[in-house]
Amino acid sequence: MKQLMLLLTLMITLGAVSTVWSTELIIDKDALNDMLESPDLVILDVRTGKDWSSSEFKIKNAVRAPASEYNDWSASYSKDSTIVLYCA
Amino acid sequence: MKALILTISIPIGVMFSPETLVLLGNSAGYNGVYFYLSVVAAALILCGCAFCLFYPARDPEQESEVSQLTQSIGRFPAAALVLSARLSVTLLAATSVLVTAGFAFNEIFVYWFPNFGFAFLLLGFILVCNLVRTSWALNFQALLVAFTLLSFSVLLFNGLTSSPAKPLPAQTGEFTSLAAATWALLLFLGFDLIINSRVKSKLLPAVAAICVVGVLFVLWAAVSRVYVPTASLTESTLPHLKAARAVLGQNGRLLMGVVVICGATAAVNGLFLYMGKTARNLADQQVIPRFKGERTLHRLISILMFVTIGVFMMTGLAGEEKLSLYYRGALLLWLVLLVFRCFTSARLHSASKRFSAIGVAIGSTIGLIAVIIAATAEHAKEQFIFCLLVYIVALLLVLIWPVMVKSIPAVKRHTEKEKF
Repeated sequence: MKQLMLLLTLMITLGAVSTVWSTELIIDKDALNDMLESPDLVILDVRTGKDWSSSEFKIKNAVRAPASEYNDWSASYSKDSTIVLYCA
Repeated sequence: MKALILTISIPIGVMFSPETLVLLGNSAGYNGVYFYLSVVAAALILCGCAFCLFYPARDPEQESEVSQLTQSIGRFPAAALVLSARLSVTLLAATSVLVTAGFAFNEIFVYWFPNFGFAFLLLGFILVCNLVRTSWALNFQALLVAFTLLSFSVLLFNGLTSSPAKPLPAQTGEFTSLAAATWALLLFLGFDLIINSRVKSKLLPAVAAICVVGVLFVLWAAVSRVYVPTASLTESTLPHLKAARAVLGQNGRLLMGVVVICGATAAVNGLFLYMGKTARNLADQQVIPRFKGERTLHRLISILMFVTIGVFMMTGLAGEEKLSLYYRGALLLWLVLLVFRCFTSARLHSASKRFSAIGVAIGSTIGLIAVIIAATAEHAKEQFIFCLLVYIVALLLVLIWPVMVKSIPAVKRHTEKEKF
């Protein structure tokens, strides 16, 4: 019973942490729409293969940046820029 | 008539897969007006190929592609070639087009429904149809093709009878390269998937499928070029959706969504049905076990393909850039299979010099086109290695069962018992 409670507590903690984490990092489409004119904004489309080619929704001026090639492209963007990763 | 409709629904379903629609749109933009010439040439070559494959059948039931090829290149190489070409296309095409159908459903029809969930639903539905009865799967196929053709024809009719609100500047198009022109041959792959033995000749449905699809594709290419700039058609990953939206707006998107979903499902269902037949032909050559008859074998193969495609989708193969490379490799294996079948047919009917010459000419032409497509591919070396590996794996697979039958007495007894 103790182990079950411990496991449950751990799961709730993990869930809470991930929720807090996600609210900090996820941007909704309206907020992004308001930022589209900003010169500091960089939108990176990290979708690859069919995930990218089969989708009709592609943000204008988004740059394709596969997640697997992170080391290649990550250094080319300034840390002061607002970088939005688009994956779905 | 019903038999002909059911028979023709498999090749048309496979030819209307979303992958083909993308190739069609890109080619129409890429090659400009010369695209039409390449489509007509490809259709003529493949009509000639159908003539070689199906016309001279002395006993259509006995003249399966495996048994024909066996007489020419031997049992194991023939079985491996058929298995590698058919199975690789089925598995990779299914993974690719079902995911595309999932995206179409999610982005065009029901935004909250997960695209992968829909792809799995379609795959599950195809499996159930193939498990219950082959006739169900065949009727389902005809229904899907009817929906596909109806939606496509409505779009086409609207595109042909109206004109864009803002006419595009004159587009002449350029003949970019011979390599791009050879892609047209890939538009008609599927014409040889004729399985219904109730039709008297397999030649008629194959040629009819090529002609019907050829006319529709040429007209669609013409409509696309009137409504969408050629540069945009060439660059787009979904040129058919772009053209549909330009023709009929949101309704055009909905109609093309139906074409994509029904076409994808028909392509996968058609390939499942044909793989069932291929498995029976391989069992006839005793390179795979019979598993208590044709029905059980079809069910077992369907389950195996369902599991493999499911694993491919869950492990994220659809998100891999290499999927299209592997898919093109599988299509090349299909072309190689056609080449060998043409040469085999020419050799088996060498008594008729004219027929033999046609067989050799068609086989050589398709072979040359396959070499051009392979040599000009973006990752030609990788693609070649993929094709070679698939063939080697298929060869090993078809060697396992005969070795087991020879070396394990219990298996040998069981196989002999099954024969009677």
